[in-house]
Amino acid sequence: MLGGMIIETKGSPTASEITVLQLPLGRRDRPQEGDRSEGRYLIRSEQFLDPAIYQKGSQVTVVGRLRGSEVRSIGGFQYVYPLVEAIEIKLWPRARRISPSVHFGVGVVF
Amino acid sequence: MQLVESLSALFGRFSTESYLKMRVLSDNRSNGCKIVLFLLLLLTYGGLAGCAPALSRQFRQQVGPPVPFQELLKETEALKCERVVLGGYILETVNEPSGSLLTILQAPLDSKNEPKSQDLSEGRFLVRTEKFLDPEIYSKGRKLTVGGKVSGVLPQPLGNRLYRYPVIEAEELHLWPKEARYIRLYDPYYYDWRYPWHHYPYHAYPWWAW
Repeated sequence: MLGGMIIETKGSPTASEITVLQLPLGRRDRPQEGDRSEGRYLIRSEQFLDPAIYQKGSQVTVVGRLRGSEVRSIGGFQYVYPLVEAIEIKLWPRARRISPSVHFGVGVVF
Repeated sequence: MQLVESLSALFGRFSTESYLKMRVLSDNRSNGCKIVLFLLLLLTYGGLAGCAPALSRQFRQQVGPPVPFQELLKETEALKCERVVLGGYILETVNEPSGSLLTILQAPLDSKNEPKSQDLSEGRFLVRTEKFLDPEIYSKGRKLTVGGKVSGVLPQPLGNRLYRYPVIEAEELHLWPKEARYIRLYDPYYYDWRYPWHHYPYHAYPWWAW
């Protein structure tokens, strides 16, 4: 099980591929925001994953099998992406920072 | 007592420490001064954990007096191999087989070595590092402080002119966390009449206590 933030989603009718920036998992296996990424990986799925839904910047948690690796370039750097074949993908809802709905009041009675 | 023990084990380092202090305190309960000390310790612990310096002490000791950025721009060659601390906002991260090259919009540093506003910028510089820096993390607009050696000038086109970028060979990099984004769900000036306690000088009592 891995989590992360989507960098890119490429879809074709038969298979989809998501490039993910790995992030450590937090509560309820949700990726934690921040800069503690340890690298990137690819998710491959047989389902069609709409790039408009699996947008850049969204958070995902994936359960899958490791299927080797793939070398691609980032700029001039040859990056080795681990390839994960997805069994299940959880896309986390985007709106996250909601101010707490509980308000504390201090009353002074003379 | 056993419950306290198991709870503090759950909460890990912080609680274990405070639990140990609690035990010390419970041995001489009469000493009220120690309780104040304990609270102070709690406060400072939280404060210290919150702010780690941008660059290591070791590096900061090796750096000479700060070089004005204007001087670095004009006399890069003369300052070669000098250790400097610079900071700014990332403009671009380019990856090469040998490492990464960052283009930075310089900004003056504050006392914590954190870059100030980018409107105070006096120019640009390049940071070279052997590490691979993911452009998704070292993305445009992020705040960065770098400590390293001046290694030379690299003229590169900027619009229609050549800009002489000073190049810093990075020894230590510190990426500052993203500024917290506040999403305001309600108008701060909205006055909630239903709320039982109104602001103190006007209505000190809840409505049901009139």
